[in-house]
Amino acid sequence: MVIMLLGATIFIGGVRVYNDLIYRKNQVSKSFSSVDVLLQKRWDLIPNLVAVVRRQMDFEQQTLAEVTRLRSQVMRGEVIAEQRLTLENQISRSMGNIVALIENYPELKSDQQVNQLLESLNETEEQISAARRFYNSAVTEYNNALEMFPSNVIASYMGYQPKELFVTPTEQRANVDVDRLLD
Amino acid sequence: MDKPLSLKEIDRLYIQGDRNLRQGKFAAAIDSFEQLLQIVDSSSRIYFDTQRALVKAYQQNQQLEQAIALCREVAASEIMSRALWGQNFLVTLDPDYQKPIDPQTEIEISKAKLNTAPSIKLKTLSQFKQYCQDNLLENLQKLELSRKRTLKSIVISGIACLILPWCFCWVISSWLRFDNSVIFYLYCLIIPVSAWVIFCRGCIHAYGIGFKRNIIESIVNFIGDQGQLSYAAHLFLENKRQTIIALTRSQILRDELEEPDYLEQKDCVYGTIGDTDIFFAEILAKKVKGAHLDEFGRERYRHKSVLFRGLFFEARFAKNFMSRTFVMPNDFLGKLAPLNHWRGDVIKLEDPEFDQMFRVYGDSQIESRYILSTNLMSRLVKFNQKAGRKVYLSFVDGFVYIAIPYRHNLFEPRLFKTMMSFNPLKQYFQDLQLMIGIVEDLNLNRRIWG
Repeated sequence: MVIMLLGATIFIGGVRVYNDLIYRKNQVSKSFSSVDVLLQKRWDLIPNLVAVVRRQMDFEQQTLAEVTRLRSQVMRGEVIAEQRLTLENQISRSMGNIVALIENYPELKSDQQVNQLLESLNETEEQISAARRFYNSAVTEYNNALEMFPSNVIASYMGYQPKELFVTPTEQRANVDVDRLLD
Repeated sequence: MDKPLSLKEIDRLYIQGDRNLRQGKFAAAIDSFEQLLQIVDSSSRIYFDTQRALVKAYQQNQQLEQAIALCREVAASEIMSRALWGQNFLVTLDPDYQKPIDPQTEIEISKAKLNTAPSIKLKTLSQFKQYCQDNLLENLQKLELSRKRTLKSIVISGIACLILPWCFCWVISSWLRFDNSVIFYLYCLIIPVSAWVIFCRGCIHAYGIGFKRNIIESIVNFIGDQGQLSYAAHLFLENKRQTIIALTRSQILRDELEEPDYLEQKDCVYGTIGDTDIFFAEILAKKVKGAHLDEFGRERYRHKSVLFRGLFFEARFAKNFMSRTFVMPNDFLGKLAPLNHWRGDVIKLEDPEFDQMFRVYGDSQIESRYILSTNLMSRLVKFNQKAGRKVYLSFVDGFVYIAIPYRHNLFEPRLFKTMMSFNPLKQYFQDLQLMIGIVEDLNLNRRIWG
């Protein structure tokens, strides 16, 4: 009787841990797809913004061309996940540069269309940041489960591997140097 | 010519009119307000309040022509805030009305916007102390006199209430020669003591009116001098209705389906700070059980349970969002919240200090994080430390709602302690600044661009 009870408890505990692992893994996938959706939303904004500001920002054609090139590269979908992350980070940095440069063009700053686009872009950037935080939170919980007993036993049996967190690149942490951009 | 009314009588007349307006006795309200407009100085604050109330009373009483005429008068006021209120209300009364585009007014409005746009600068205690010495001292002295007078009336009437029935009992018991004089005395006390309680409440209420008009309103004006804030000791029926709607919508305490049956609100502060419209008030929300009509058709309740008592704050949030997010104190009740499924999922956030103080629930993991940015979380931690009590927040329908429970009335005058002391004023100032400062503390004026 005691053995049966013990067996039942272990079985129920095992099922629970297994389900928990599956839930955490799915949360990671779900959060990653949320980031993906928002990144795509940002891609849609880029050509509109580039088209509007191109007229005025004659001296920053290189920056605009860079953003357009990065976007096309990402959209082709031929890049692997790690490369994509790097490209998305580069897009973030270039977009940040454009926003900083717009400050130097009073005509652009007062343009309603530019303002609306920048507002949308900023909102999307904040949503991306929130989605990345969600992803990081889901990955942390998943990785914790992979290392903690007894879930680590089941996880290793199922072949689960730890996932990487979204990390902000060092260059993105630094403030944008507008003077350098204008040189 | 009739003797001019004293300030107290003016206040009473205004309150009577407002009460009538709240109770739907519009004709009586119109009478009171029309009478007030005849006697009150047109530059005083109460004149505008009366005009505003009268316009609403006319409107409710289907006297649209009078309402429009009075509203036009307000709209032509030299004081910009009054004129703006008149113009805005006129649009709702008269569909044909076109708001004037006066270049000078436009310039003044834009100047006012420029002045208010940055943010409110919170005041220090020493600044407030200086302000009290410069501006409130005279009022405080008058209030202190009024307090002593009120206290004296209460004490003397109380003693009279005890002695007179005792004399009456003594005479009767000696005349009729019966032994149960103590019980008879206790019976005799019932009516005088009841009358005394009513009298005391009247005295305290009258004392409180002067206190709120002279002290609390001045403190609000002092704190919000860069914004456009107004203070009202109490608000009108439709405003009360708005508060019920806001409290219900906030779902801060209960499910949206549960509307409080009874709401009392006082000490309301409303207006604009920078780009943010705010409203807060001290409220008491109750749920009644077993409501029924008595033999005279009056509504009676078997039981009233307090849903919330304390400060309730409402402001538009700077970010757009569709889902709901609830931030609750990390106490026993907060931990039980998952049992109420309507609050949504648990949102685990990455700020350990924030996590220690609050528990977050919401419909969307991403939107909750979008609302509760790392910056806002650290601001909330500081705000909670500053408030020094439990703070509930909800983000619903583009608004942020904050509820801070208190067990006592906050902005009431002290009757048994002197008013010539800085301590009570300091408390009023800190409580008001805590609420007005929310816009600055939580950076609600921040717009994503422009």
